[in-house]
Formats: sequence, C-alpha cells, structure tokens
Amino acid sequence: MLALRNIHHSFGDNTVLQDVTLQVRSGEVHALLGMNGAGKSTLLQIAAGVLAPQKGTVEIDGREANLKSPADALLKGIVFLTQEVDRGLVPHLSVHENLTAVLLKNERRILFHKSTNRERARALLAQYGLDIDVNRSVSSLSLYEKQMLSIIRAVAGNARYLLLDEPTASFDRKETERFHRIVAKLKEQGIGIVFISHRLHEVFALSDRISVLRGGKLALQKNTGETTLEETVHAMTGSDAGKARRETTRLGPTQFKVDDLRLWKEGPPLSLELKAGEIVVVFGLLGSGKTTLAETLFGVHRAYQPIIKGTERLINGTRSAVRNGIVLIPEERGKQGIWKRHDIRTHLALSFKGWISKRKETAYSREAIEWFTIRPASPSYKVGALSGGNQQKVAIAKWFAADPDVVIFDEPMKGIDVLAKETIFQMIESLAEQKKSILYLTAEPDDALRIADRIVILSRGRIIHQLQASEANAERLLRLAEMEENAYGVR
Amino acid sequence: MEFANIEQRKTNRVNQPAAELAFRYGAVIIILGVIAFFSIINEHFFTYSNFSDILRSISIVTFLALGVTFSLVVDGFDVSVGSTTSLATIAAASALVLHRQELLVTLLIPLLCGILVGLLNAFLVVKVKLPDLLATLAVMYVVNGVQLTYTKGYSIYEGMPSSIGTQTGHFIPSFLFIGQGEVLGIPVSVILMLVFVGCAYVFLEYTTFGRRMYMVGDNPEAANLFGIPVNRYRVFAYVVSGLFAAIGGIVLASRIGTGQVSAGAPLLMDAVASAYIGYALFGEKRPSVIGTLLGSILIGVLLNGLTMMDVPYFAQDIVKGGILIVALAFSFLRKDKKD
Repeated sequence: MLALRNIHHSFGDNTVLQDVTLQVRSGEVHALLGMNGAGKSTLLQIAAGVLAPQKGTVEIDGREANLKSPADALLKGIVFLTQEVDRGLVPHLSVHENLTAVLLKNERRILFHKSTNRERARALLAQYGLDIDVNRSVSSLSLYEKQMLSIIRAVAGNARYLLLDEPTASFDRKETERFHRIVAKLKEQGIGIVFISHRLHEVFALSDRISVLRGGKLALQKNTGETTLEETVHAMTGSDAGKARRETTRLGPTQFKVDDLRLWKEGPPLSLELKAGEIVVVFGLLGSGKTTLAETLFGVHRAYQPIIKGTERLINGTRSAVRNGIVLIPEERGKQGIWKRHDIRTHLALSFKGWISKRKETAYSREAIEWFTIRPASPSYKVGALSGGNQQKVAIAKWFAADPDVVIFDEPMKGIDVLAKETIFQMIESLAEQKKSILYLTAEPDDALRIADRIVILSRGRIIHQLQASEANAERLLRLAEMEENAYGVR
Repeated sequence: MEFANIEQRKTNRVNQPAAELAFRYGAVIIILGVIAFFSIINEHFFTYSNFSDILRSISIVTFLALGVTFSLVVDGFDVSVGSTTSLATIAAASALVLHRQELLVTLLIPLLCGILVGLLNAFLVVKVKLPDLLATLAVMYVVNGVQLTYTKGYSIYEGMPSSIGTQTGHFIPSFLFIGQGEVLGIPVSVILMLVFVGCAYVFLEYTTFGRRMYMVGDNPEAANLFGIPVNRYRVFAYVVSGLFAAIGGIVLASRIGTGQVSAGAPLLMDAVASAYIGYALFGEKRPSVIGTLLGSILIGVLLNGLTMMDVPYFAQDIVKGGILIVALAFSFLRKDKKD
C-alpha cells in the first residue's frame, strides 16, 4: 500500500496542500479530482519524490519511504507519468529499444541481441493488447501510443504504483476504451494506480475510490460506489462558488459571425457569433479543441471567411487576421505572447508603423502602462523580468494600439495570482465597454462565470451547448462539458 | 512554481556591478586596449595614414559582415556571402572587360547576382526548411562553382587573351574610383562603408520594420501570432545579405582592378567573426550593426598591428581565433540570460 499521510505543502506564503491523506492499495484505482490549482499535481509530485513534503510522510507498505528523488521513488516502485509523455521516451529510437532499455538496465547487461530484444518487446505489447510495430520509431507514434508505451515500460520495469496526470486528456473514444482495458489488466496484476482526470464519467467507470481536493484540502474521499456524480462535482466546486458575477450589459449589433468553421480537416462544422461589447466564453475541457479554435479564428491553420461588421472577409493567415481586426492572446504566454528580452515599450508600440520615435513611444507606453496598471511602471523594463501577471498584461496591452474589433483570449489566467487576475478581468471588461467583442476560452468554470455574458460549451471540436451566464453555475458547466461529451463523443 | 521563479529572479537581479560592466563593455575595452598596446609598441601605429589604411582594409569585409548580421537578426545564418562576393567581382569584371559595359550596368549586374543568391538561400531555408548553416553552405559551393565555371578558372583582366583575340574592354576610371579613389583624403570605399553602416544602423534601430526583424529572430512563434509575416522578413534578410555581399564584391573588383576568381572566399571567416564579435558586444547576445562594425575594426586593428610587429601572417590567425574566443566567452558565459 502506498500512503500519503497528513501532507502539508506550501510555496512561499501560498499553502497548496493542507493535511491531505491519501492511500492506494495494490490493485486499486484511485481517482484524484479537483479544479486547477487545487493541489492535485503537487500531491502527485510529492508521492513521486519530485518534491519533499514539508510536513507529513509518504509510506510504502506501512514503512516510511523517505523518497529523496524521482529516481529513488522509481527504485521503490513508484512511477509518475506527467502529461508530457514524450519526456521519458527517446523519440528517435524504436519502440523495442525504448521498451527494453529498462529491462537491460535492471539486468545490468551491456551486450544485447537485437532480435531477442524485439521478441521481448512484442511479447510485452501483446500482453497488454497493444498492436504497435516494434521497429517504428517512437517519434512516429500517436500520443495515445506513447502514453501506453510509457505505462507498459514502467510496469515492465517492476513498477508497483502508477501515478498518472490526466492520462486520457488527448484520447479519442476508442483509445479511451482501450485504455480502460489496460487499466483493468494492470489491476489484475496488483498495480496500484492514482490518476488525475477531469472527465467525471471516466472517473466513475474506472476508479475504486475517489478523492476530491479543493483549495489544498480534502473535500471528499469515498469509495466510488458510495458517492454520486452530483456529490463529486459539488465537492470540486464548493458550495459558495459558481454564480455569474457580471452585470448584463447592453450589447451592440453582431460584429463577428462565422459559419461552417472546421477545426480540423474532416471535423464537424461550427458556428459562432459575437456582438459588439459582448464577452463570450468558450468553455471546454482539456482536449476539447479550445486552443485549436482560438488559433483557427486567428488564421493560424487554414483560411476561412467570417462576416465582420456586415461584410465578408477572407482570413488566410495571422497577418490578415490582424488587418481585419482580430487579435489573439495565446495560451503559452512566455513562448507565444511576449518577447522576454525586449522591453515593455517595444511590446506596447509593436503595431506602430514607420520611423521609431522613442519619445512618442515612451509617452504612449507610459499611458498604456498606467491604463493597464503594469508594474514596475517603467517602459524600459525587460518583459522577461516581470511577474506572470504583469507579463500577461503586456501580452494583452501590446494589441491595444492596433485597435482590434475581436479579441480572443486563450486561457489567459494560467499561472497568474489572484490580484493580477482581477485586474486583468477588469481590463477585459473595459475592452468590452469599448464595443470590442471578446472571445474567452477556458477550462476554468470560475473564470468563465466571472467574465461571461454568454457561455458556449465546446467538446471535441463542436459546440454542444449555449447558455446565458445567468443560467449557469460551475456544477452545470462541468457536467455539460463532460456529459455531453459522452453523448455525442463519437469521432 | 511561480514563487520559486520569483525568488530566482530576485537573486539574479543582484549582480556585481563590476562584472556587469566588464560584460557590457568587454569588447570595447578589448579594442581600446589593443589600440593602446600597439600605439605604445610602434610609433607609426597611431597615425592618420595608418588608421586610414586600417579602415580601407576592413571596408570590404565589413560589407560581408553586414550581410551576415542581417541573417543573424532573423535568427538565420548566411555563410554564402564569400562566394557571392566572388561572383559579384567576376560579374563586374566581366561586364567591363568582356562586354564593354558602362558604369551603371557594371554595378547592376553584380547586385542582381547578389539578390538571386539571396533568393536561393531564402528558398532553401524558408520554403524547403533546410537548416540555415547547411543550406547556405551548399549554396556557397554552388555559387563558387558557378563563378569558376563561367571563368573556366581564369581571372579576368584587361587585355586578356581569348578565342576572339585580345579583349579590348577595360576597367573604366569611374569604376576604379569606387575602390581606389579618395575624397578629401578619405578613401571612397571607407566612405561607402560608413554610409552603408549608417543606413543599416538606422534601418535596424530606428524603423519599425527593422525592429520587427529582431522580433522575428527572437521569437518567431510570437511574431507570427502578432500577425508579422515571419517568412517574408526572413526572405528579406537573406536578400539583403546577398546584396551586401555583392557590394563587397564590386568594391573588391574596383580595388584590385581585375576579376580574381574566388577572391571573396578568404573574407568569409573574417566577416563571420566580425558579426559574432558584434553579437557578443555589450553582453547582449544581439546582432547589431555597430557591434559588427566594431568587430570588424577590432580584427583590422589586430592584423595591422601584428603585421607592424612583424608577426608572420600565418601566425595571425591564432590571435584572431583567440580574440573571437574571448569575445564570445563574454556573452555566452553570462549565467542569468534565460532564453
């Protein structure tokens, strides 16, 4: 039995885990649920030896494990697979080489035979009903296949406990089914599994026990048979959370309209309509196609023809998107939204044309910095040295000089502290007051309710539901996003 | 995680001011030091005529280095500039000697060659998506081969024999003026160099177009998501690189008054070194025109000084390499640069 007892953990003044106890027996599947920031990942990291608990203990079979590092945890039979499955695999080596590397290491062998290696790998894969050519290179595998390969490799290396962080987020329906069968097989072999998931139906189908974290505390811990979906969702969101907080505003005419938009080649068609001054939230779980939708609207993937302010336009690239008044604040702020080595002024004045007048730009920057409350309020400050919240403000403010009509936010609150978050919400609201249309894509029900006039629910590339913010609450959003996925989710 | 980062930043921001200063002005200090050193050692070093010589000697390399700098700005790399210079030299000489052309055509043909090589580089790097170093290396061979094939390996000079008898075309004075003339005691090639350095500097530092080139080089993904046509900027950079190399070739042809085959090849490494010294300058890891000019001056000063000290030319490369190591170490050893 792997047990975490009375775990406390905090980063600085920010307490992430408070007195959390969680156990998983051999052959048991334990689902870990909670909203973002509830402390799930931190808990798994502690269980896997990535972090040392500040208080509390990790025990294996009743004895304190005292994990020093992930490698140490591995030796003791605990394997942690993060969402980035590629990390543990060597992309340009073949499937069998990746699979048998651990075996060979355990056997302390230096020389090995390629054909026996292939045989062993085939046998392993067959044992779990996985049909992959062992000679293919790992880089050519799908995300699902990589994930499965990582799991099988872990088990072949004598793992006794598997910790999985959202293993199924990117799986389609068939893959999910096959994953379920593999989990069943692992259970038979007496392997204990803890997994994080946002898909509630899957949690109920797979797990023996459910723990819900909320704000770093255990909000629910029951055997799966003894609880209900409603109770679980309630525990995740809390009783006070989940009312729409925005006052309804008066909306202008339709500003942006698109029909028959496809997120991928043979994907389902999708329509979207935004009014002037309206904030529409696209709510979708991980893997729903949120980011693809944002990028497609911004012209990153393929051309499409929206109607903007009554005339049909052609968007065939990011440049034409900007020219037609559509802008994007991308999800990966550091990688896609800012230039860390450049100063604030350069960002804010980036859509200026012609000669650079430092004086004019600095004056403009000061104004914008004031308006967006960017701190420190110095135009020459390097953006890479700002805090996450201020970086995001710069990432948003850099569009301001372009005077857009449609502003798309893709999960803008990632890694942003509470105070900055509220400022950014107010920024978004004042953009809406200036009759800009806002599209806000998120997987966070709380954020969605905070900012939305209208909420559309996205699942597997299609809009499956629309509702006014006043009709919504966190429970309802989560259940809609999750349940309808099962009802419609054949791809 | 977020908190850990903030802590990290705090500790990083506290730098020793002295070390910071050394990093920032390291290359400048080295140049001044080298000049001071040679001035003390040799009385003829610190004279107007010697400095004029130094500038004249670096003017051609500087054109090539400017080309490399433009490719570095968009995070590319162009090693074909040496060959392009050779091609331009041959093109100019051929226009004059073999085809008896006047000044305008003689200037336009090499420039056109430069643009074509730039477009070929851009096609391979941007469209075919070959790694920049390898693509331009391949183009370097191709272009070198083209100019050798065209001349059958012989240099082009006035009165050269050929199948139709002796060539009657010659290097016209107005063309020779570019590389050999002087205005108010300043060599024309130096004036040209300074003018183009000035133009490139103003373009990269004082126009939004130039700024966007840096943005493209620093973070192409963010640039694309800002609606900047990343590929067009990269094509532009390679074309400018080819153009600068061609200008270098024109000045070279005019300086020596013949069309030497493969005359640009030895200039490549000095050009790359200048651009990289400039890249390291001010400890910013940022390619810049002023940096490149200073880098080129540093190399010129070194060669000149070492020659005066009777250091044989074959040993000078050792010093050049050593300087490059020091300059690069200054920028790459900085620990707090997070990319």
